[in-house]
Amino acid sequence: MNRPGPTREKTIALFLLGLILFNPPFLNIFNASAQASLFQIPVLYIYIFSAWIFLIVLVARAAKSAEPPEPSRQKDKPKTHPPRDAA
Amino acid sequence: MLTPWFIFIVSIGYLCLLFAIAYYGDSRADKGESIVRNPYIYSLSLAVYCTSWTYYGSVGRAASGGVGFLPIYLGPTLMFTLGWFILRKIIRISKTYNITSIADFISTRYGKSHLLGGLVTIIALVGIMPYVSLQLKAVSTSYDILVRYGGQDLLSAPSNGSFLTDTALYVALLLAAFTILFGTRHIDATEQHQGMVAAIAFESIVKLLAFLAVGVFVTYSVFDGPGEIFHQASARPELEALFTMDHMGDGEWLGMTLLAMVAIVCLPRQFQVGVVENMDERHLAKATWLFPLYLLAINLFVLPIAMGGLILFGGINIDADTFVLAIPISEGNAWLALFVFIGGLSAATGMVIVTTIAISTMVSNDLVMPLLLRVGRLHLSESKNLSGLLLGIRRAAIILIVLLGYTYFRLVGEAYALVTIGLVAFAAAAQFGPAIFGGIFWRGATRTGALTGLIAGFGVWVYTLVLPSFALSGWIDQSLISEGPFGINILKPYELFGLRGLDHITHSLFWSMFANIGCYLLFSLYSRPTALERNQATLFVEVFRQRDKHDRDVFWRGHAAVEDLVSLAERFIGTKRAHRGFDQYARRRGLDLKTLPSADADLVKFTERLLAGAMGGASARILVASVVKGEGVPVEEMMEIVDEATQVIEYSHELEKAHAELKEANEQLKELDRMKDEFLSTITHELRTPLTSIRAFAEILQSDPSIAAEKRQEFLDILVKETNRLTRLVNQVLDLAKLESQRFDWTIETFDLPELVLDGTRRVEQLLEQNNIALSLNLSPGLPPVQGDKDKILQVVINLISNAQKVMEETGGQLSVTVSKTEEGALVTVADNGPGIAEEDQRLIFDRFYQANQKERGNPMGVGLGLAISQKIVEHLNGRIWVESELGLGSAFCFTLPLKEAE
Repeated sequence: MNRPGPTREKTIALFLLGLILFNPPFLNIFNASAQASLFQIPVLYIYIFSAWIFLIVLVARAAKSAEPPEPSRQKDKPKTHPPRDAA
Repeated sequence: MLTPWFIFIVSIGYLCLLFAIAYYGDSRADKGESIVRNPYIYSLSLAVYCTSWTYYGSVGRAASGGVGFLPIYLGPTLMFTLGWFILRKIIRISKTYNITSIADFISTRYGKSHLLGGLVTIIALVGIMPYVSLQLKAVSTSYDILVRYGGQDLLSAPSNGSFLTDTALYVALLLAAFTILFGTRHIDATEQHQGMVAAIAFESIVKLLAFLAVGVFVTYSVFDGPGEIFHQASARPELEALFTMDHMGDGEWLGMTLLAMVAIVCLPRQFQVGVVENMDERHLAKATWLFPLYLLAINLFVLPIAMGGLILFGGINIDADTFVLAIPISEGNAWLALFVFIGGLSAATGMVIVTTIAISTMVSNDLVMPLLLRVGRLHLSESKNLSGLLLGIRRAAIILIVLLGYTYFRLVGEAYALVTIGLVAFAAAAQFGPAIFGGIFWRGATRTGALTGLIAGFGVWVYTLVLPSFALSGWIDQSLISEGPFGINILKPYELFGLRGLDHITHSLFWSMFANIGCYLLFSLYSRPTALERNQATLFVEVFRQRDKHDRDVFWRGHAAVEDLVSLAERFIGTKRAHRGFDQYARRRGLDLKTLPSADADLVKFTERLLAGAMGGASARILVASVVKGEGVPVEEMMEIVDEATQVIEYSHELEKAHAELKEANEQLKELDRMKDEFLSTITHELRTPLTSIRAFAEILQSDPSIAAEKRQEFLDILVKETNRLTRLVNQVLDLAKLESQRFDWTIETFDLPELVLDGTRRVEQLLEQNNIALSLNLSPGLPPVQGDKDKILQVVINLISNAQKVMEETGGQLSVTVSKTEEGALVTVADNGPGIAEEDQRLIFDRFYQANQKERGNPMGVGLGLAISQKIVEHLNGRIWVESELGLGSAFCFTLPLKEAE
């Protein structure tokens, strides 16, 4: 079956990954000390933003892996229903 | 340079630009050339999530709590990783059933309940009000700061201007007017506002650019890169504390994340842009990462700006919420300040426009229209064109919402920081979460559950967040917070049941969700859904499995006149749009509506959906019901509507059953096949025996002409006997075949049974005497006549007697033939005193070719078909045949025949 978009399993896996990355106790690892810094930027800040961009990249890859045909090319067409997908 | 007039004109100019974009978008949409039908515009329009709360408030929160502002954006990121799974389902449901607001969604899911729709509307109205007021506050504050630019008065407290010079009021009125122009130009069946979406997307770009501009300015122009800012900040202990998250509890962090996760779906404006305005659910695939990327970009410079502001204004009492604006001003960059102000204006107006459109739709569709329909239904259904009324209600609602927001701002709002107000609204919107998420995945959720859950959650929200805020504003006694109501400590709104250690929002979120989800689950489990609720539940939960979306709603059965439906639609969505809708429908179905005698259920459903888009599912249902005769389906029939899952289970049961039946039939066929083979081999065996002996004797006669005449005669006798036997066998096989294939010729007549039996015994008398068998007859003359085929019965009698003769051939014995009358009719008994038949053989003796103890007795005469044929004959004549026997004592074959008078 032609499944547009990421699969449900991938989606849930990424969600769980994000949940763990963005929350204590994982977050507390980078909360060790105010002195800890990289290029003078506190590691906590660096960690959160890089984890964030990391997750976005993963989601983008998952979305792209089975992306539907470019929708912008078929503007003006009457709305067609994408293939059914038992989600 | 930045005179009030200049700022005012720039602001108005900006709003006019927005309007131009919206107008362009709408006119393109009318021509069918949508400019918003692509995933990028969709993602940008989602960024209406970032209001002035983000724009100004994030910096404020970061200045006091470090990374504490981030969960508000990490939550939506997490929810969007699940977007393809959850949001797409909500979108699909809404598109399929023309759902136009969050209230509509919940009410439609739980049996098209007006009560739920109204409740959701009220919660949204009350909960979002402070949020709207927050936007007004942000615009007016930023305007005041900009106007007082010039350095001399930056630090003074905001003046409480007189009513006429009140900026916020003008902002409010301006926004209301703008929203009315945007959002309520006409009533549309899909309730999509492409122009508005275009404008919102544009605003999202402006606010992002403005914020990035000020971020870059602070980081790289005022300071020398982010490293330097953080380095300077680390020199001050009070700022260094912000580098960690020690000031924020784990529970609070998690609570905020979850809150934002739910809010990104449940906030009315997010539902509007994310679901209602979605043009194509495939756009969601890109939005799942583009929107989080936007959130990341707009938050990138929050911490540098906050730290920079704290360093620059260290010691001076400047509200950190205004750093974004204050830093460019204090650095003398007027143009940047103006740009930032416009960015903030974008953030605020975007939110107000979308929110008021969303809530005004709810107010008109789920609050006012149902009430009107209920109170003055007759009057309403007489009036001519009601789309004007709908528009009027919405416009009034928009003005009402904005003015209420303004009132809140004047009365309460100023006591609060931006972020706190926003979070209070989030917590209110989160109350919709269980009903929505539960509703799309859990079929068992009921209306009662949703209703009680919402009421309980909303009640706790009011008690733990709104009441104390009134107390803080001095409206009610502060002792409510410090001592609890009536001095009951355990009920203190900020420490309910003694729960301490959480901030107010997380505390409220915990208790309200506890009450909400608890009631939702409990009452769903212990209440019985109506048939309509069950139907809707299935439609929602299994939206991806609906083969044809038009065929599932079984709740319209009656008939309506086509023109009634058309005129109904005309009155609510306008003549032009109604006709366009019906024309499309007719074309799709290949019908001509003018010649259609009456509307079928499908057309009724179509009308309901058309109206649902304009005025909500619950109201549409009532309106259509007023036109349809014999509306709806009787309760018993509704109860028969089985959930699809149950049907699937039933199908699989049926399949299994069919499979078992097939298997059984197959077994039977195999058995029959086996029996046929057996029959054939037996019959050929039986044919071969006489043939062999005929051939043997014939060959002897042929090859030896010198055989004595006496001997020859003996051989010829054998030949005749064997040939007879062969003929008999073939006749019997033919008889049996005819009997089994029902092609036998029956001559049914009435005859005297004793006479027939006497006739039969006479024919075998000779044979019996030869074998020394004594015959005793008991024929009870005077028996009523019986009905049947005389010749066949005779055949049966002779067969039974000759069987008896055979078993007593060698020993001789006693044969008794009796005819008597029983309840079943006439009974014929042929009893011998031969060896008898073993019990296990008694059942089988009527089978073809069965010969009891055949080898022992070496019976050459029987071929084993006689009893089988007799059984067939008797049973065909409605009689019964059986054997009673005991080994060594003899056997009695009995059969019955119905009497003539018995019929």
